[in-house]
Amino acid sequence: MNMKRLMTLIISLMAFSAVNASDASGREQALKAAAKKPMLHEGRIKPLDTFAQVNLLAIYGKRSIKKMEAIDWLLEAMFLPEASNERPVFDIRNNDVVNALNLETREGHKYSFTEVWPALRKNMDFLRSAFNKPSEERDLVEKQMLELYGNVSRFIEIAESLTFLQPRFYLSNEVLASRFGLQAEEKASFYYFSKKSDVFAAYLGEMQVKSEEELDANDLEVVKLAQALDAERRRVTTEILKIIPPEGAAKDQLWGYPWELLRKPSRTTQEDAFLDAWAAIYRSYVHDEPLDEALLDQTFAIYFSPDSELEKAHIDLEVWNNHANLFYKSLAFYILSFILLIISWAAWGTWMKRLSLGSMIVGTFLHAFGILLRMLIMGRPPVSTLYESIIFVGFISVFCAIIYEIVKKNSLGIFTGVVLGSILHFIGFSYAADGDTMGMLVAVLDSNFWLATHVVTISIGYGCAFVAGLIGHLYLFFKIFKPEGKERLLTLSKNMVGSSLIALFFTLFGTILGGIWADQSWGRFWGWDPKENGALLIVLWFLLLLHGRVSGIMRDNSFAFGLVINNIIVALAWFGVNLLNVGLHSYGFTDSIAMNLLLFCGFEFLIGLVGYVWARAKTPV
Amino acid sequence: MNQTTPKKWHDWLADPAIFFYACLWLVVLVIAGTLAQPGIGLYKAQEIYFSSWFFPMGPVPLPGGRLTMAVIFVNLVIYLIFNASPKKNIGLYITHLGTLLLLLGGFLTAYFSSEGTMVIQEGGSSDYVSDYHAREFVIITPGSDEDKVTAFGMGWLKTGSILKHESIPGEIEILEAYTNCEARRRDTMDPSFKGLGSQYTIRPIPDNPQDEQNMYGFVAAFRGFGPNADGNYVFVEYQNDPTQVADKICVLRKKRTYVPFQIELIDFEKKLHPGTQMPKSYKSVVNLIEDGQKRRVVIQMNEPLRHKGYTFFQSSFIEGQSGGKDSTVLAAVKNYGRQFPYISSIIMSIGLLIYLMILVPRRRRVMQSKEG
Repeated sequence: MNMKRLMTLIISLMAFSAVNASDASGREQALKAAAKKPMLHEGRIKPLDTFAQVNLLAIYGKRSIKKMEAIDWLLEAMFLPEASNERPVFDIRNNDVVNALNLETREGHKYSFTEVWPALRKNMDFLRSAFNKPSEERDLVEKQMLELYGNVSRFIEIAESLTFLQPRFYLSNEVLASRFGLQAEEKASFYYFSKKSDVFAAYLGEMQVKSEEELDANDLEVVKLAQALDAERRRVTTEILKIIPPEGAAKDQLWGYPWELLRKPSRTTQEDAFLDAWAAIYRSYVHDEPLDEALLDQTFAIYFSPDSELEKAHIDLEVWNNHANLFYKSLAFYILSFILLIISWAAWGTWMKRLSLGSMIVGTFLHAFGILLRMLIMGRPPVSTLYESIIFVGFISVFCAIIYEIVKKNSLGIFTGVVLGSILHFIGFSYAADGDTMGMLVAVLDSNFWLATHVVTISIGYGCAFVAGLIGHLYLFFKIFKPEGKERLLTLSKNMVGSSLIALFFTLFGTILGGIWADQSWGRFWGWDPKENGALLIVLWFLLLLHGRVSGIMRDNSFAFGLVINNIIVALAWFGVNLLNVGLHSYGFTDSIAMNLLLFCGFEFLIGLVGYVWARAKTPV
Repeated sequence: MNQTTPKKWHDWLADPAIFFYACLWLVVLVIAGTLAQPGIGLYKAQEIYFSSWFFPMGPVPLPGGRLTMAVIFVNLVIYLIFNASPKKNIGLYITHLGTLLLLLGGFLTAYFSSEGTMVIQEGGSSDYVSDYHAREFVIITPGSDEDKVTAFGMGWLKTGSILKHESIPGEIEILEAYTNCEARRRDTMDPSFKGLGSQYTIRPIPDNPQDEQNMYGFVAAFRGFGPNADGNYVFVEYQNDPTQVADKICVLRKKRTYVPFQIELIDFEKKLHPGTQMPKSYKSVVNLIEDGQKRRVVIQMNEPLRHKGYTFFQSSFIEGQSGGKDSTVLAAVKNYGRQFPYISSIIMSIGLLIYLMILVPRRRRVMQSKEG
């Protein structure tokens, strides 16, 4: 155990230090500085790092492109369009869509902007008609084309956010250029020229006194330049990069976007400092110039006053969390624990079991730490969305299993814990692939007290229900394959009942608390909507099993079968009701979920039925 | 239980097997009632599966939610009175008692509570609650002091009904009645119809699963109201102008319940999550007016107004047309069974805790004696 602890400590330290290492490279400094910049997106103040990850996830399917971090991709899109437009990041899985766009099918399914955008433009009529249809009537190709179009449009919006920093404009005449502080043909950015309005004004004054014949090629060039700059100012319409905090970073205010500043007739020194800071980041990223981090911190310090919302947003914590991948690491330890447990059945039993438990505990700590960080960052209880409920129920299951293992010491705890924990982590990952898992809540859900009580209790109930379900599986397994182990079967039988009672306690009270919350919020304790009915079903099912046992109608075999069926009921109550999209509770739904849910339920039902029939055959009459 | 003592009547009625089968049926009902909702809507599904005593499956009447819960109730009562042994297992007894209270509360709520909405425009006030689903047809005789209102409930609004009452001079025969209809302009005016009906006709359309969006309508023949007033009339919900028949005003609308006070909306405030269309919070600042006294009250999400048995919740709002005044939509609930879930959950939790607390040490003692 000591070795394990030491190893874990070292690994964590390494991970921590890697995130905090200060690298000499200007480019890496730029990445680090940009990642920590706060912005307003989807109603929440979050670091640019999260924004980058969420958008890359939507477009590419993963939060990083092999070795390239999301923030790197984001800066490349905003600062180096020639490179970014050629990078294959648009994921098109469906070959029907690929063919509709007249693109070549390729392994990896990734296409670049230069390939995809013209192809989409050629199909605008198709896209328009698909858009005008109600969403239920769209077929798969229409849905995915629209999704792709949405992704590409958003990419364009992102890419244009800071175009004023890119050097695109120049003057060919030496004398002319020098008036603007440039060499002949030296390219400068819109931002640069926006600071030269006095030079333009002076030149305009000179031009006005000339007659028409006296105007020469140079005059024309200046006019053309002014027109080009003006056209650029009017062309760019993106508002997505809301990185300019409102006065004092006050709550509930809309944030500004950089081009807003560029459109203003005049800017304050503060605003210029802000844009200069971003220009510095640009130079560091593109030309690898060393970044004056102290100056940058000073520029942005005004937004981080003690009262401002930015303090509460825990930006740095969120950036750390984005890269810590705590849930992945937790899963790794659960899997390690499982492997060690299996080894313990073959050799070095005691030691392997201890290591297995230790590994599971480490995994649980990482799991809990991840939940804790989310709580701190979001400032609300850990179970506000479907995704969070998955993570939380996973944690509860493993936690209860550890306690059980410490008391009983029979490996059953380790087994149930890591199996449930791992499965729920996997489900969680597939939900996390949907986007920003730290979304804002609609008004009615935004109540910390009830989130903490009702949702937490129900989640604990789900966790315990799955534990009971798993024990039901184990009972059937041992009844079929080791029927002579009477002692173990008796223990399992008692555990089935015990875990059912505990699960009933939590699901019953979770459901009642939900009713009380509904009564407090909208005057109705019970509305028979799908989510409420789902929770009720779980309670009824447990009541059914327990009273079946009490009345003698059910015995161990059928009770175990009932618990396997209960897994189906809990899964449907938890995920399935969202697919019905009725009532006050629908908040979270994907196409693939339906398929996976169906597979799970079918699989469980089959196991339960076969297990039950077989176990009965093995039961002496 | 001793095999030789014959079972008494209460042993049969208190048998947990009854609960088992009733509970199993309840599971079937809940599943069926949930799967039906996307198709027919929550309100209808509730009416058919949960609030009913029976519902037809083809020609066969099946027990509905109310009957099933009544069976469970009787089973539980008999068990608690005759068969339970509080001394042997106090925890379990208390838990079942708590369940009884929950069922009782549900029963009271089902029969004695009412729900509706109160819509108030900024600057305006209201003293009535509109039912969510029930409609009424009212005949109002305006008076100098107060209006006299005769209201016919939903049960009357069916084809073939004859509406009669001492407060109205003649009778009204319902010729056609629809739970959902649309109005269309007639190609040529029909002189046998008076009012709206001379220009518009109605025809039935399929019911909307969201019952609140259904537009009720009917065609009626008025007789005995006077030679100028008699004739055929068309009524639909949400008419712009109420129909005038002789000196009376007739309206088809959602059923109103008048409350003994007024609520005046001073200001409605809505906050969105910045940069999104997602609502963050709603707030209505109102005056509660009663007996000439005014009191300022704030109604917002999770903070309702409770007064005279009514509870007013901030439900939603209606955007003012082209920048005009917003209207707040308050959900109004009068619920007699309100306290029961709170009481019963406390009792049930005490019961279960006692049960578990007694059970665990008892098991340990048994295990220790086994190992010993």
